Amino acid sequence: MTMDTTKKSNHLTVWGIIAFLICCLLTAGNARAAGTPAGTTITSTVSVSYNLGGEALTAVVGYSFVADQVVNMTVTKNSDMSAAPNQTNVPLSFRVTNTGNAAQRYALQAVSKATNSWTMNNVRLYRDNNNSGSWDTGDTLYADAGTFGDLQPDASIIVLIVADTPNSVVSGQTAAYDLVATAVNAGTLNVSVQTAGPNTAGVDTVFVDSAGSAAGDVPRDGKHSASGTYTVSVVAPAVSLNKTVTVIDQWGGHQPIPGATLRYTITATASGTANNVVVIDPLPANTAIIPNTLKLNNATLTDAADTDAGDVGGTTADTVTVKLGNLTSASLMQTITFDVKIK
Amino acid sequence: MQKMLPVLLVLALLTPAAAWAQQKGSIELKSIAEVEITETNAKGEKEVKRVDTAKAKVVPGDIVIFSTYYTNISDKPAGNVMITNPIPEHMLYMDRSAEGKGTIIEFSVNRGKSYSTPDKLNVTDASGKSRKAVASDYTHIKWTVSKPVAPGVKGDVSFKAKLQ
Repeated sequence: MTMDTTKKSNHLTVWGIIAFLICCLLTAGNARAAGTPAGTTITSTVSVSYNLGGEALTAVVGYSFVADQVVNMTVTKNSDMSAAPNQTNVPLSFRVTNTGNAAQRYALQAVSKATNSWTMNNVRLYRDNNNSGSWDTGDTLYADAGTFGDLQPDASIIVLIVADTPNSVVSGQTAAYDLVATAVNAGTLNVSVQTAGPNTAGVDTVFVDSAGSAAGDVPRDGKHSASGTYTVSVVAPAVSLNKTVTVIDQWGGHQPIPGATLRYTITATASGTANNVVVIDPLPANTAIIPNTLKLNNATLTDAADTDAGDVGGTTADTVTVKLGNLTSASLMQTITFDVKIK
Repeated sequence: MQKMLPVLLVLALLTPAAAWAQQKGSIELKSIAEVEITETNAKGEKEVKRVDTAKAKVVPGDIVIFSTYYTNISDKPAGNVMITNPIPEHMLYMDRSAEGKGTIIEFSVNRGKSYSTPDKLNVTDASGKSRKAVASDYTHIKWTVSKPVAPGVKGDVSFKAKLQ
C-alpha cells in the first residue's frame, strides 16, 4: 500500500509547524527481534526550504508504504533423552519461537525419521506449561493448531514429544523424531499461504523460514523443524535362572529312591544385554547323567564337548555346561533340560 | 497516537492541495521509496532492479532506498536550498548511504535540532558518557545544495535504510 502526497506551500510558518509535529511523532521505533509489526505504515516526510527572490519558501512531500507480514518461525531442540525399555512418558524437549512480525499459530507434528529401525509407542505432543523440560500432568495435550493459541512475535513455547519406550529395545539403540511446526493464520485453523504475484494494497504474506531437519522441510515453505533423539539407556545386564526338578521312579511314581530319574529344567531370561552367557550346573551327589538327555530349547545336545552349545563332564567333570551366547531382553526364554539317575 | 499518524499526515498534506498545487515560483519535490530486487535474467546473469515499494513486498530486514527529486519550476534561481528528511520510524539508516550530487550532507542525532557531519556528531549514553555517534543514532538527514538552483534545473538526493 502506498500514498504519494506532494504539496507545496509558501506559508513557511504553517508548514514549519506541521513538519515539526510530524518530526515529533516520528519517534524512534521499538527494537524487536521479529521486526516491525506487519501492517505498520512507514512514512518518509521530506521538506525543502529555499530562498526565491528574497522570499523564504518551503515544500513538503511524503511517501508511505506498509510493512508486509513475514512468516518465520524456528524450532530448536532443547534436549535428547535416554529411555529405558518399557519406560512411559519419555519427553523430547523443543522450543518453538515466532520470529515473524505478526501473531501466528502452528500446526505441530512429531515425525519418526525414516532411518529409525524402531519407533516409540503412544507418541503425543504437549506444551510444557511449567517449562520443566519433563512431562507433567499439568501440561497441555496438543490436539490441533488451536490448542496452544496464538504466539505473538518473539514469543515462544516449549513443546514436548512424549512417548513410551517399547520393551523389545536394546541398550544404545536410537530413534530420532522431527518436531515440525507449520504456520497457521492467527485465530484460525487455516495454514498460512504466501501472497501470490505482485504486491497488493493490503498486508502481504511472505515466508522467510529456513530449511529444517525434517525430510522435505525446505527454505521459505512456512515450516520449520528440528530433530531430537531417544537413546535406549544402558541397563545393567542381569540373567535370571530358574531351576525345577521332577522325580520319576521306576514304579511310575515320584519317589526319589535309588534308580529313580531326576529331570532338571533350567530356564534363563535376560534384562539389558548379557553377552556370552554360560550356565554351569554341577550334577548332584550320588547321581549320574543319563546319556544323551541334555537338551537346549528341546533340541538334543551331545554329551561331548564339541561344536554344539553344551556338554556333560566335557568342560568340567560331573558338570553340565551350556553356552547360551548373547542374551537381551528381546531374546526368547532359554530352556535347558537333562536327566540324572539316583545311584 | 502512532496509529493516527497516516491519517494526520494525509489530512495535513492533502487538504490545502487545490490552492497550492499549481502555484508558480517554487521548487517541485517528488519522493519515492524503492527496494532493490535481484533477478536472474534470461542469460542467467543476476540483475539488481529497483522496484517501487508500491509494487514490492517489504518485510523486516529489507533495505529501502528513499529518493527525493527536486526541480526549480520557477523562473528565478533558488538559493539556500535545503532538503531535510527524518529517518522514518522503524527504519535504520545504512551507514554512508546518503547521496546527493553537489550537496553537503549532514546528520542530526537530536531530532533535527542541530545538524553536523558524521565526524563531529556525538551522543550521550544512559550513563552520561559521550561517545561518537553511529549510523543508528541518526534521526534526520539534511542536504544543503551548494550552489543556487537555476530555473529548470533538477537534482536528487537519496539514502538507504533497513526496515527493522
